[in-house]
Amino acid sequence: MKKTFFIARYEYWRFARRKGFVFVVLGLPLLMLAAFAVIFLVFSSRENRPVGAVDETGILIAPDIYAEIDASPPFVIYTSEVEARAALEDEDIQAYFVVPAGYLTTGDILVFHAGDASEDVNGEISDYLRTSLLAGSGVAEDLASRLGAGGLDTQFISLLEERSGNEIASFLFPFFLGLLLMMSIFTTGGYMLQAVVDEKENRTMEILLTSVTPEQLMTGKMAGLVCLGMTQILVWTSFLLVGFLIIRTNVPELSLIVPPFDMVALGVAWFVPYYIIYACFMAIVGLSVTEVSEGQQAAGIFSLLAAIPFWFMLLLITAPDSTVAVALSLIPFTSPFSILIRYGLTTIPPWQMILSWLLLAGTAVFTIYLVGQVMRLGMLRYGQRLTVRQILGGIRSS
Amino acid sequence: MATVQVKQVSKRFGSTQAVDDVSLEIAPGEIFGLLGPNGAGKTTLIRIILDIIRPDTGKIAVFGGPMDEAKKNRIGYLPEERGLYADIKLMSVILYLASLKGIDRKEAATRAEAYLRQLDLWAYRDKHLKELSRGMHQKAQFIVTILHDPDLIIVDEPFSGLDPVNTRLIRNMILGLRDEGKCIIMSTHQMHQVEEMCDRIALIHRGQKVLAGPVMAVRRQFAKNTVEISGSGPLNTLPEVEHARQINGTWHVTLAEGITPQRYLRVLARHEEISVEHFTVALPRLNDIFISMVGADAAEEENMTVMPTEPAAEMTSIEKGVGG
Repeated sequence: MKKTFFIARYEYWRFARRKGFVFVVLGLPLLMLAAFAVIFLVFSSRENRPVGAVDETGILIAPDIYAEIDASPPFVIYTSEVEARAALEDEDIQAYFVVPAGYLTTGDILVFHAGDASEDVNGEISDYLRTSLLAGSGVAEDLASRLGAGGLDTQFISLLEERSGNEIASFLFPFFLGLLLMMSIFTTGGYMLQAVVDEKENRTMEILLTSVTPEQLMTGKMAGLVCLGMTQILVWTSFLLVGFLIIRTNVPELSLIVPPFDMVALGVAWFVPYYIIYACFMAIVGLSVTEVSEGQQAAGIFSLLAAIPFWFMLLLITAPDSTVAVALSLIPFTSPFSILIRYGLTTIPPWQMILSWLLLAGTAVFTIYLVGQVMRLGMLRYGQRLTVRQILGGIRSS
Repeated sequence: MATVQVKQVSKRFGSTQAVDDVSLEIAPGEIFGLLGPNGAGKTTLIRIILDIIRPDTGKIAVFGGPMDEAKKNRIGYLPEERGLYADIKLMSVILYLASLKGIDRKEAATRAEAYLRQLDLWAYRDKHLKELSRGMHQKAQFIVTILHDPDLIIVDEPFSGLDPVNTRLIRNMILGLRDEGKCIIMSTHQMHQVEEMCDRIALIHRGQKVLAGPVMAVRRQFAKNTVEISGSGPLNTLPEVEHARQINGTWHVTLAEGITPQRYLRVLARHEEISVEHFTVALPRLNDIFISMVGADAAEEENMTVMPTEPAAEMTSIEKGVGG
């Protein structure tokens, strides 16, 4: 047990110190931060100069009255179109609109702009006109405020689930969490391939096996790499969480959304055995080939298997309780991602959760045993490839 | 009690019989030479002893029984192909591998320092292994092999890549370990090292043990009725001599059938006109025995170290002036 711990610790630090690992762990969040910054800049640089208004009908209310409704961008009323045009040319306003004399009968409005006017202008003009029309219509004030700008306060209530937050979050969280976990597996799990090929070809593995059993060696390596993957996830999710909390304080609409910690726990519980299966597969590939590049080709097969839930993504979202969705969440290669997606969208029966995890964990234990057997076989064939037939033959004879 | 007992062990890979009914016993305090051409089955046998692979039939007993974790801590192994982790610092690798042998980190560091200084590697302790020369690698790996003070040491080509000075250093360390009572199994193609260092040998060919025993006994077994003699007088024309040729002033004399070296020596002593300065019973080199057993082709394949300038043999050396 102690030796397994030593191996795990050594493997962890061996790869954690690598520049490539540090770059991936810190690079991805920094990339996300950069993306957030770009989005923020785009929104903050949004056109917010006033919009001019030329009223040829006399129905428009004073802009300062309208300003109480918190219009953005603000309005400036010009007495003639010439004045408004001059203001537009001087870039004092981003656009101006003309309410023609026949507006009340035609409903036509003319908007003049130079360059890109804000997308909000159209809605704001509509609100302004509606508010102006209501102000002079004699409609009771409280009713007018309902019909006017900002009067519509829609609440969406789902009859399917009683979840807090909203449906987008129920899908997006597990999707991105699953994606991060997959990325972590494919990056750090790939280290296993390299480690095994190197150790096999330079015979370090033989020295190690005079100190520990193949199972101890693999378990140690696996534990080290799982911790490495979890470090990656921890850093990434911490960045995400902090980023989300910062955004939530600035965007009131998101205040109802609570970070789904239960989902993170679920993700970790499912992805640890999945990680082990992937790393074992990489180890078997590593023991069967003589160069890392050969192994990477074989690793592509596993990536294809892991990508199956993505092919059925639409089905998982629209029919999370369908037979296919249930099957996907039971098959060890596809279960982690499928379970996560379904967890966000439906209530998974406990038996499915238990069976899914047991099948996954059982496969993980079996693959560790399998690696031990292949290791004994692969040790003899250094400098040579192992065929699938040889692997199966070796396992049968052990 | 033998440190290693190999009883009728066989191992087959597909159509290849890698090890075929081999039995050996290796005791503490001896250096046992495991010889054989490439692909003979030596490495497979070593791996079976180390429990890296399991035999199809037969039994292995190490320290009196089957392998377990505690016994693994008492074994040091230097494999033939060496590399270690290229991107890790020397001291770090040594301490890591020592930790897997159950050695406390502090103790391992103390021992590592002593060995690194002894083998002139202390200045390189913080270098990555990829920065070290092949000889340095070799010495580093030898340190890894013996740092945990193992009772069974298996070294495969321990001198490859070493210059004469370092070869001598490692050789003396191995001999010192033997004197401490360690059991050492050495596989090498450097036959002169085997002759100088090994107490016993076994020659493996095509998976089978074709020859085994103490080095001197094996050489005697293959000795032809030949002596090397120098001196003056009709050394080469006596009736006891079947054939003689002179090389660098020394007569290489093949004795007639039924004539022993001792009898020939007595005959020489009776001849007053003969003066003997040097008399040696010629024993074949292990190199020659190896070639005769496994064939010249295999020997060429092995690139064995042959020492043509040395005398052919020197088991019994008598320096005596006779009748002079």
